[in-house]
Amino acid sequence: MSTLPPECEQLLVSGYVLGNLSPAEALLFNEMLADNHQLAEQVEAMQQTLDLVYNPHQVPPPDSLRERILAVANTQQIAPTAKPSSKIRATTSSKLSKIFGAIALLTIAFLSIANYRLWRSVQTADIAKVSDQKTYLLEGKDFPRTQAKLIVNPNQLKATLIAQNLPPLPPNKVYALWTVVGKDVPYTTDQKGAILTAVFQVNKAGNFAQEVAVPQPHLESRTIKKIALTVEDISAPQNHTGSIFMATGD
Amino acid sequence: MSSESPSHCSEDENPNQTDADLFLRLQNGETDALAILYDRHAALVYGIALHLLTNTTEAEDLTQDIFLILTKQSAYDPQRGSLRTYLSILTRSRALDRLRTSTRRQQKLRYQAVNEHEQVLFINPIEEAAQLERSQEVLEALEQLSTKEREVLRMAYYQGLSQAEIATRLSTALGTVKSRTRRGLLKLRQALSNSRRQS
Repeated sequence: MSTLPPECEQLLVSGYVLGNLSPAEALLFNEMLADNHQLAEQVEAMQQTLDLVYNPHQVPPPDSLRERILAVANTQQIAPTAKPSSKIRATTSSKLSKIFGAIALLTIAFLSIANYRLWRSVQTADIAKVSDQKTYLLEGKDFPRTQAKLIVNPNQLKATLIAQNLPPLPPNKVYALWTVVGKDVPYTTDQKGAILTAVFQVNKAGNFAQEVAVPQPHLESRTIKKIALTVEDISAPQNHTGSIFMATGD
Repeated sequence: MSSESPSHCSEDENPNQTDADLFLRLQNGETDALAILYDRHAALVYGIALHLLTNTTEAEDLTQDIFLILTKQSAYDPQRGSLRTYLSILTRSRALDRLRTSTRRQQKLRYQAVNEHEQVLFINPIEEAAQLERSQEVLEALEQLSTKEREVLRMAYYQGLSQAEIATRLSTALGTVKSRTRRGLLKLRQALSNSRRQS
């Protein structure tokens, strides 16, 4: 059961309804939700408030539209997306939810502790202002045409990840991007001194581009030893068993 | 999450299936989940589309696009936010895109509509309430918020700007933006709840 003060709990509900929870907050919120079913009622009430104030024009569409949309959806080939979890099949919705939930929780678990510290600091104080945008170029020895670039905005702990000409992977594999900080730093890392920063697959052309959240060490780039890319199992990328495929220079 | 809006669907035969469950089923090709999501949220999506596009054919077309997007892509993350809010922001954003790219003959009228919508961001709550045909109860609740809280809520919810974009536009720390939007919505809920208790 959550020990958060009621107002903090309500602010998390508000953040969920507004869709602006950080990964760490999402982890915390979903745990609270599993423990406290009344929280779902608070979500419902908060959502109704948002609707009442900002969506006063709800209008039932014509009956024919429903059939039309469902017919189009049924005739389309609905391919699973590139999300790692989308490859998983389940026979019931609850089972499916548990599998997706477990993978999502495992994937963000390493990020959550560092990001939770950030969340706490954001709630209580200004984030220390740090330097401007920083770009990391990753190189691969065995694949000279491959390119990967991480353009970090440390002020917002966000980055744009761009990868080109990477070999497409089999469905059970993903690329994992790591922020390597070593073990003698005050951050939670894995046994290799790394923090899982992003998990992705490339398209058929070998390309990928997306904004990603980066962990707290990016506030001070001097604490970062390396940015590295490995190939990991889709079911447990956080195990960090793959060898380095691309990395920044030392 | 529980279906955020069972009250929006009088024939919801699956009240125990959350929007998140249904979205994940849909992402795995179970198209029957789409019917339930449609029943829960179609009035919201169509209402926003019709209000902005002022044309039933175009509103139907956009509604179809929005629900088919749910079958194809996964920008929505059920762990981090409600599907209903995602649909609302997406519909508003796509409707404004359509207004901006309409034919030249319609452009003058439509630019006016876009401008009117965007002006909502800068006017006071009384004008805003009148423009959006809000009730007196909602107007009074909005007046409980600070100007800055109203501003970030409208930017997040009406313009669909990310928290980072709002922080940049307002030259404000990201944490401040998050805190203001959340606190603003919480205050609205408390104000509306108090108002109903008194009446």
